[in-house]
Amino acid sequence: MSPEEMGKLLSGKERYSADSVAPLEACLEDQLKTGSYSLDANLALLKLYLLFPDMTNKEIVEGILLKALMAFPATDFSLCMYLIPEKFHEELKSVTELASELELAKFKSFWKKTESVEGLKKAAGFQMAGCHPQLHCRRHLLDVPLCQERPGRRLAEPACRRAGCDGEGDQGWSRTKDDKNTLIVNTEKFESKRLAEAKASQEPKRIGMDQYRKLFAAATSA
Amino acid sequence: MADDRSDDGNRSGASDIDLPQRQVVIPDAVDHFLGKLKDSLETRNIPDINKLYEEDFNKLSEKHYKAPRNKHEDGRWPAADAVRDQISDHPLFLILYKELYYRHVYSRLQPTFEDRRGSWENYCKLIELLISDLEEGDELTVALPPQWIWDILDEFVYHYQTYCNFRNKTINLEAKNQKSDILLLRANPNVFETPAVLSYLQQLINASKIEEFLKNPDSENKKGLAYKDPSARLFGYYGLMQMLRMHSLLGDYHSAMQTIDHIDFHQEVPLFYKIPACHVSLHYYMGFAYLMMRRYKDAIRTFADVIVWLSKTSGVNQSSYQYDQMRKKEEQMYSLLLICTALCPQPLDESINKQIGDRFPEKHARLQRGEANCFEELFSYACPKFVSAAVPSDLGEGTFKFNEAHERQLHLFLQDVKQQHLLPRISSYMKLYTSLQTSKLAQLCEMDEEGLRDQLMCVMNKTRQQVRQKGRPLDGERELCSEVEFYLDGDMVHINAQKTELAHSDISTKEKRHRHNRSGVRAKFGASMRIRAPPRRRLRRRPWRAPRARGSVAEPRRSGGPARVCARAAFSSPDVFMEQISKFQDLIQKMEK
Repeated sequence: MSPEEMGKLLSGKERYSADSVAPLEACLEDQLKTGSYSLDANLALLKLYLLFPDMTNKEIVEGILLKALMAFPATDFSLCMYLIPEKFHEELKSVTELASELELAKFKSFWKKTESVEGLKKAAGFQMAGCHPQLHCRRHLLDVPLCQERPGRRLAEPACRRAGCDGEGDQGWSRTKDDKNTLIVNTEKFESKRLAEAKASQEPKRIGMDQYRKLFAAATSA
Repeated sequence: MADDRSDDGNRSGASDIDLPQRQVVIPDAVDHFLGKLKDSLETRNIPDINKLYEEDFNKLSEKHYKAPRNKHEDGRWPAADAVRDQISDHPLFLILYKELYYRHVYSRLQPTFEDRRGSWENYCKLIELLISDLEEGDELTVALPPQWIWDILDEFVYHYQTYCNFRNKTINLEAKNQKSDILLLRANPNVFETPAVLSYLQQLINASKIEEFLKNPDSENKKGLAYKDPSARLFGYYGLMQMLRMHSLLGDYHSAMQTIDHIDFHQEVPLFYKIPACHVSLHYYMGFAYLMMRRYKDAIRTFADVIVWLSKTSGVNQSSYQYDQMRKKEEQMYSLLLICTALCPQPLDESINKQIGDRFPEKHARLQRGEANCFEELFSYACPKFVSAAVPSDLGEGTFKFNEAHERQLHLFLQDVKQQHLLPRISSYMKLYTSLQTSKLAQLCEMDEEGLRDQLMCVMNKTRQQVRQKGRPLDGERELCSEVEFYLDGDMVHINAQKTELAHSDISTKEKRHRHNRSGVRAKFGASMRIRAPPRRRLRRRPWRAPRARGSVAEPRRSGGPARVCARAAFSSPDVFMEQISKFQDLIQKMEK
């Protein structure tokens, strides 16, 4: 289904019709295969499962959750969970546990647990080509300066070094010359923020003549 | 707004059917009212309709249909059949009359199953009529005042919501083998069916072209009635609001927020200003969706805005018959605000802080201590009344939980709260340092270094939220929402603590007086009087001590509008004050020369 057709389906009354379950399920399969992602379509499908509970397909639900997991650190996973009836929560435990490990940034146990989740093998993009999968998720965290480094010093987070990070270039990071596995992260933003703030707070607070006059006009008339 | 009324109607409609047909007596005043209503509808006289609707209907209900008096006067307005026979068979008039009739039953009496079905069928007729009018695009058959338009759509969703509640209760009774209306329910599967309700609202929104209108109100290409007809515009607009509510009731917060993508927040006078209930409802559901999306900062801003707005307009809205419901919503929004600030501390408007201190000191303290059951209490009190969209066909032994929708949201929410649990502690230690060894921090937090590193990463992740600056409600950049910013350098944690200090003028006068009394300083007015810059919350690095205010001058914080200046000063006597003033005025004149 083309994106235009999908958009039309989602904005019309067909969105709430049982006939839309099949195309939306097909859309999810497609997402798993090609690595594309559409939160809107997936939420619409979960909503249809709520409206027509007898049509619920647990495998599809799991697939949707895995796709949402990969959107970390966005809160897509929670958004999906709000729409899944509690009776399925137990069966989906392996995936929900993954999500909570990720939320709590326990990466070691997260990657360990991923090995045991069958569904993940079907999800394209989870294991990024030529790169340790660690990064796919970790990078999102690194986008926000998870572990920063003053220029010229080594990166603090050991797991990053091991991973051979691909945050170079686009993040303004670089590798040290002596140790290829060490990254230098730019902390300019962090430093400049300090300076700017210090400056701002030193500015004298002046009041113009006009303000004085207004004040006194108000005071005398009161 | 209407979702807080209690509704436990389980009574079946069977008893009404057996009554012998008798001529219904319509009192003269009511007859007169109905006649006028019909005429005004025909002539599309909106001010008249508004008066009939807002004043006369309520007065007559109060006088003639307050409560059941005897077997024949059961506290209902005359049945629609009687009105058709005795007043008019004008179809639109009858639909709108029935709308009022059922609304009265829902608000004063226990609706029977017949009432529920009747109300559903009536709404279907009305909305189908609207949709076909809108699609043809000439003119709406009906012109109504904004309040009535809002109420129609609001009640439509409210009746849906009570129906879901009723259905779940009935099934629950059935599961316990008690007497129930299950047969009626089974025989009428399409009454207030969730997909139908959603699709009606969606069609109404699409047909009115309200979204195109909101995107570009001055467009040349004015297709769609939203551009021409104010009633059509409002039907579309309030349709969006109810859609927001429907999605929220089902727990689909992302779609809820998408619904209000194009709402006119940026306009000087947005359409939601027309109806206070609409204003409150929009912000309530929007703030709640932010809360569930863990965008606490946005949620806080949304709730704070509307709470301040409510406090400013409290005198104006008192007359509205929805006043009590608005008070309740306000209370709920305070609860949600308390939850948000406990999870993500943010500076609040001084007046709100004061309200919290006065009205909810105990809840506030419990949340600050991180008591999970307090979170649960407040959430359950303040959340929307979630609905279960449908009932599975196989109701196995004990598998049906009639409160599943609410519990689902509650449990997921509490799980998030639990994850946030450790954050305040680690931050409070970090606030004390500019840099410290990880080993030392680990020691303070009573965990091993490896655990601490994980914990720091978690803090990094959890203190970042999407925050909306402008644009659509779902837009926003991920940013730091915490007082503490830090980074790791080898074994060192470097910390930037941003302590938010209140501007001088935000410290309430009360506090100042207190300080005056304590120090025994009677303020004297002198040339050294200091006046602060207009109040603004500032981020400061070093703790800032408020100077002992002498003749302190405070400028109240106001959002929008011209800055009003007022002076509150403690002087030993009025004479001294006037003397000083004239001196000062001289001084100013000299300086100007």
